[in-house]
Amino acid sequence: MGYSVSSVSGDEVEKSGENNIIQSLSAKAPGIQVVGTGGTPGSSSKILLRGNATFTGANQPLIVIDGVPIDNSTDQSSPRDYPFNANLQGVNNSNRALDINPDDIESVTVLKGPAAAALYGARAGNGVIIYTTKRGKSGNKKGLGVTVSQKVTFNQVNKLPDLQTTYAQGNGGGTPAGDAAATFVEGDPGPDNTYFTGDDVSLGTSSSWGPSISSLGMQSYDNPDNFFQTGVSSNTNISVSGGNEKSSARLSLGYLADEGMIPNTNLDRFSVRLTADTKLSDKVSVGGTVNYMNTKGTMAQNGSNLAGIMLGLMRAPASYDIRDYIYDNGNQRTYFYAYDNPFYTAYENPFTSNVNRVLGNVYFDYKVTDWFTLNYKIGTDAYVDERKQIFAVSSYGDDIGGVGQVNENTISSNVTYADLTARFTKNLSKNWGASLLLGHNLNQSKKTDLFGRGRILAVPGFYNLNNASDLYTSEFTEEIKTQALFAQLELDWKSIFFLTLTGRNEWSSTFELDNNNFFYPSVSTSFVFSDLIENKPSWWNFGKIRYSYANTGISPIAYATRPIYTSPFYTDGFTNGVTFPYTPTAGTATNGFAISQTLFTSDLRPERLTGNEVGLNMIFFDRKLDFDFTYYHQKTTDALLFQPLPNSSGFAQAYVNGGEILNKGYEIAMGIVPVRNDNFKWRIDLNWSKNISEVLALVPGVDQFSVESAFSSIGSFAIVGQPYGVFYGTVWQRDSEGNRLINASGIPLVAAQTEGVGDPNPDWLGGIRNTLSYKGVELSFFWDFRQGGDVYNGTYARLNNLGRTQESADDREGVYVVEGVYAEGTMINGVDVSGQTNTTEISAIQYYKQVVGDAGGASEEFVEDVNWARLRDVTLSYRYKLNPDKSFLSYVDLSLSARNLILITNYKGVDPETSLTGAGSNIGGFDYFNNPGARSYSIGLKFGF
Amino acid sequence: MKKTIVSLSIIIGLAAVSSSCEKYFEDAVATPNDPTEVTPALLLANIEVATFSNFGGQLARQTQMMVQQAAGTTEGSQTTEIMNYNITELTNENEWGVIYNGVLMNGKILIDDFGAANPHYAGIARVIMAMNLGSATDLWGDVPYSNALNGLNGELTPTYDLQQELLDDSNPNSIFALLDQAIADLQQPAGANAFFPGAEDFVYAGDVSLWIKAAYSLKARYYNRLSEVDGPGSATKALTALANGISATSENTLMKFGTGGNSQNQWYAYEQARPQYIKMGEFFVDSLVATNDPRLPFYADQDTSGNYSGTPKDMIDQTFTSDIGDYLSEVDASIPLISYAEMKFIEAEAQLRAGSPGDAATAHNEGVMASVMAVTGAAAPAAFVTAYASEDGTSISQEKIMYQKYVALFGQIEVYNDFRRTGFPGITPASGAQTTTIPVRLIIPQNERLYNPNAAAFVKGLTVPVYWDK
Repeated sequence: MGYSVSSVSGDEVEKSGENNIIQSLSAKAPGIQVVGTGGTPGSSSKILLRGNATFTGANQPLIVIDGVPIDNSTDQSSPRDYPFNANLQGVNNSNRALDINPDDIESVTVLKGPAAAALYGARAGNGVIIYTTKRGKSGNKKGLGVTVSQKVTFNQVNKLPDLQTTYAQGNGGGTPAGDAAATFVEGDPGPDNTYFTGDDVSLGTSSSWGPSISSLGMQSYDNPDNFFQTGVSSNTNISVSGGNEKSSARLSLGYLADEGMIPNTNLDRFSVRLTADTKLSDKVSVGGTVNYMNTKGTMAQNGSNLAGIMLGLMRAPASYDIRDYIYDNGNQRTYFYAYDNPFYTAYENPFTSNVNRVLGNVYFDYKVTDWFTLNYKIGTDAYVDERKQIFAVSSYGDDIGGVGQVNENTISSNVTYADLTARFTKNLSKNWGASLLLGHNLNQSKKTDLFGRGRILAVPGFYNLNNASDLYTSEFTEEIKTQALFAQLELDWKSIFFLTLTGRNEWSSTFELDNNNFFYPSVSTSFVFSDLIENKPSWWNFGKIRYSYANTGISPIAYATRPIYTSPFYTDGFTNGVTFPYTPTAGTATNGFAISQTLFTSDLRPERLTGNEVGLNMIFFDRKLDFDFTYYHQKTTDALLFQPLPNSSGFAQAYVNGGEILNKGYEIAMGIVPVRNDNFKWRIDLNWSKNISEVLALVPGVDQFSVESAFSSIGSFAIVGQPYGVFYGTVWQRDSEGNRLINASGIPLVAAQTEGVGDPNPDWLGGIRNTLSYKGVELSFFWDFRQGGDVYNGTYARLNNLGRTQESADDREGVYVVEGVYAEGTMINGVDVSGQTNTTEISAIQYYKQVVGDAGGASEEFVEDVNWARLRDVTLSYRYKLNPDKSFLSYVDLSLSARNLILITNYKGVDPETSLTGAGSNIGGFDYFNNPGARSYSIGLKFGF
Repeated sequence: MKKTIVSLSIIIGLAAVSSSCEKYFEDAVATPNDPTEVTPALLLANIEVATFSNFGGQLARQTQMMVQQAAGTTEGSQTTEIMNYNITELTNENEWGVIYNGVLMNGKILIDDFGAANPHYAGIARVIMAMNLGSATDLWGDVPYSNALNGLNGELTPTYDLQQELLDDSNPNSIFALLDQAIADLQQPAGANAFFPGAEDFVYAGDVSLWIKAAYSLKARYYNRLSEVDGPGSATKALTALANGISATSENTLMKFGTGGNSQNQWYAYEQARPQYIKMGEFFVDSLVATNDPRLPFYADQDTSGNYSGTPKDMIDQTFTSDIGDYLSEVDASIPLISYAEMKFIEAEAQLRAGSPGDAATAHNEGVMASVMAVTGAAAPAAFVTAYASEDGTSISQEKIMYQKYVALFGQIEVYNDFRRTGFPGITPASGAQTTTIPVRLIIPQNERLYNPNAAAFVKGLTVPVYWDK
């Protein structure tokens, strides 16, 4: 290979202890960045290879299983009239690779650059992750191999923000007067147990700026501790494989039952997979796989969401016990009439998903002559995801507030992929070998999203659209068809010098018909120079250098070439706004359409990704030391993007070609074997990578734009000259020396214009695995390091504002002086103090709300530069081998493992491996009441027969 | 070898198929999700609903906080910011978008694509556009108009029109010219129309005579806006326009809302989605209590102790105070865009400037009584009439007119425009806020500053007055 390829064994996937084949790759090879979303079983994991290369398309690599790409999308459930970025709310939906049973994985190959795009198409521009599944082994000595394994895992929350338990719910505290000035306010909806009715005693407050709990003679509660439970997960796998000279087969069954740390969250996954291969004759082999999966689960609300678990839980005052969460009439009992009690939302507002999926492929291999082989392979991936979200009457998670809601969402996806290839292999001379591959590919995908929403439920607790008086449905279909012709020529000289040339011409339905195809080439070469050196020292085993150039074309998103009218929605971000069909009182339901806020044009070109990489691979000391170094330079040109327009043009954005993005970096992998003898082996695997991302250009006149909307005070931007997805938000006013400007009241001033405030991309990523084995005992542990990369800790900003952080309780009666100088024109007692050092004292409540809280604090205040070191996995395993002649058992494996046993980080929130927006989004680094991550312990047993 | 040739020909055959098979791709190019054609009725429904969002949503709440009729609380970070006059280029980006993309662009398409054959639709669109363009220039000062909304032609960075030009009735690209054209369109005979506006005209159900009155009323509003620029001239022109304007409360131009989730009054929706974020303002409630104003129980709910109180501008963590009352925040409460009472107060002001204090007093008194009737559904109590609606030529003053207009137009952006123009009522700014005076404009949004090179010159601070605010 002339380009960087990393391998991850099935064993590594297993050791990770993850149920998601994407999450299990985290830190396992240089250049891989995986970001999970934590919290509930089945939540998505996002994977990036060498950074983000596109603004509007997918940035994640193509996932290929046994030669056929599969759907790894992450879809939020939202109706078409939902006015905001759906990734910010709801639940952490799964990435669909979750359906794959990790126990079926034999090995994983990671192709990081675009070099493989000729074989897999444009979608491979971000790299390809090839999972090879276990197959039956022909010629097996015993004929039949059976393995049975069982693993039990216990999950616990590994990190939460540090919360205070001293002060009660209420207002007015946080001043030098202390408890004397504070008032205790607790929500009490009165005898009818319903807020917003005439008998309300108090609506409560979200603030914990009340008097100290001790002064009230009350008890303080550790609500998070009372809420989270130990999640228990059970994973059972049975496989049978066998074969003879001509045929082989493997049948596997897997069942995962995962109960989450959040009450009433779970994931059940059942997978049955049959793979069979047979030689029909000397020339013809056929085979195939059929895999049926059922993944169903219950998830809990997350993020910027009044029913969000963490929102209601973290904000819950320590003076309020959330455990008694429901009244006799079924209404929730909660401390403030706007937030759901987390227990109530967990039990009464579940999101359920039930995925039935079939993956299948068949191949036909015809060896026409000894130098010519014909192959046809067709695969299909079809699933239906039936989702239901309910909001109980009295929950604030529904759109209106307390009226009950049911959402029915069905997502159907169908992908067909077929490759016809002809391979010609010939030795051109004694030293030169050649192989030519010609192929045709057909790929079509169709996804339909049907959404039905019923609001205002007549009968509480009955969740059917028929029970709703306000109904809405929406429909969205996306069909994409591509075809391609491709060729690959491989030459080798004495197995020392290799050259591969590829080309692919692709036709895509996402262009207008008159310019719907494009070509892209690649060249890669490698040179095993160690074989040319005579008398090389004995400690040097191997040396290879490689270079590759690859170009890929990426098609536009579907349906982006013609102007359209859309059903608009008008909202200011604080309500769900007004939408169509619009039904004023005494009027009839009336539809309305507006021209799309996006200006579409027909002359789109493919986005181009050009990658260059060089690599060096060396092996020394009897293979006790190996290392692989790669430098890559990948540039996206003609990037398709939503060019922001001034609204006064009549449009908010235009979909055009224009951007340039550069990702360059280094990847190092190293293996060291300090000890290797018959009984004892110690191996260390290190990987390290650094990706430098830079947006080189956007369209003329545009230096920056929002990649995807986030919060009003901070967003994720592409800015020329800066890394992809940097934070752009509100900043403090400063003087020329960088001092904050303070007003006469001692409060710093926020600048009217927003600026860059952080970069969520890590500086570097690294991992070290140590594997020690002594006879049948193996100890393996993996440290994962991340240096840099900003996270917007919106959670902490709000918790400061509400007086919930421990920090805000440390000195409530003290006074605070913000560092800075008085702003121009500041008068104190009639004296102009402009430019003088601020000495005005403010109270704790002012400080935690308006300076380090989000009731006035500039967004830059809440951006944290995050480092971590985590013991990502530790596994101690023992294999007891039995004599196969005396026992029907051939071995027993016992393993004990832990995940995230140690996490060392400077981050003030939950486990910083977190993403509010999940795998379905091209942005990251936002934490706003994200569900927490887990530390887990597992015990596993495996029997081999 | 024969097999080889057969196989190769299969591949070549397939290649030929794939490259020529346009049919294969054709049915996947057009979107099945959105139409490419619309009707005038769909566009009219859209611009009206967008207008309701504009005048009944964030801008209304925010301007109410500025004039202390309402108060944001610390329950909401954004309301806290607004109460601290911490208003940035991001605060109102959305509302700017609703005005330009939602209303003006679709109004222009309605006029350009359907106006010639449907002048009544075009006339309504122009009235609505004038109202929204008016709100844009009132709040942001100089804004794009004459060169704006040409994105379909590839003109993506419009120039800005000075407010002075937009309010110059001799300028063909002024709000007045737009309204005159609207009146001309609406006066076209029925026979000149292919289609007639109907139920999708939520405001007037297609009654063009009322739209004509609304157009004249807007002319009166904007002439009167120029009181500080040209006192006598603006008075004469306002009075002339008023003669054809709205002449009864039953003719009010109203935003219409419904009980369903898509159609709710946005004050109601806000209180539901953002409970406690906004309360009645102390200044306003105290003044209504002091005057024993019969509108108080309609404007405000009782507070937690059964009285009426507002959140003080400097103690915004007080949330036991009165919520916004049902007049404004019932789930389907209609809110005036233009009202008969407003016309009477414009008349009073204009008469006073024109040197007819007696007529001014009469109009003022009628305005007060019309408002009480409209809000409470009953005639004002005699004592209240005696005290506050019985002005005469000697007792009337601009301050009295503006105070009563302030009360009558509760919930409308217009109150903030009047406050900036006249300085009445005499409210004092929040202390310790980001500016030491009450802001007198909004900041040109970020997307204009960043993506329209013409915008930079018009980005001005919160305390820089607009042209008519002398």
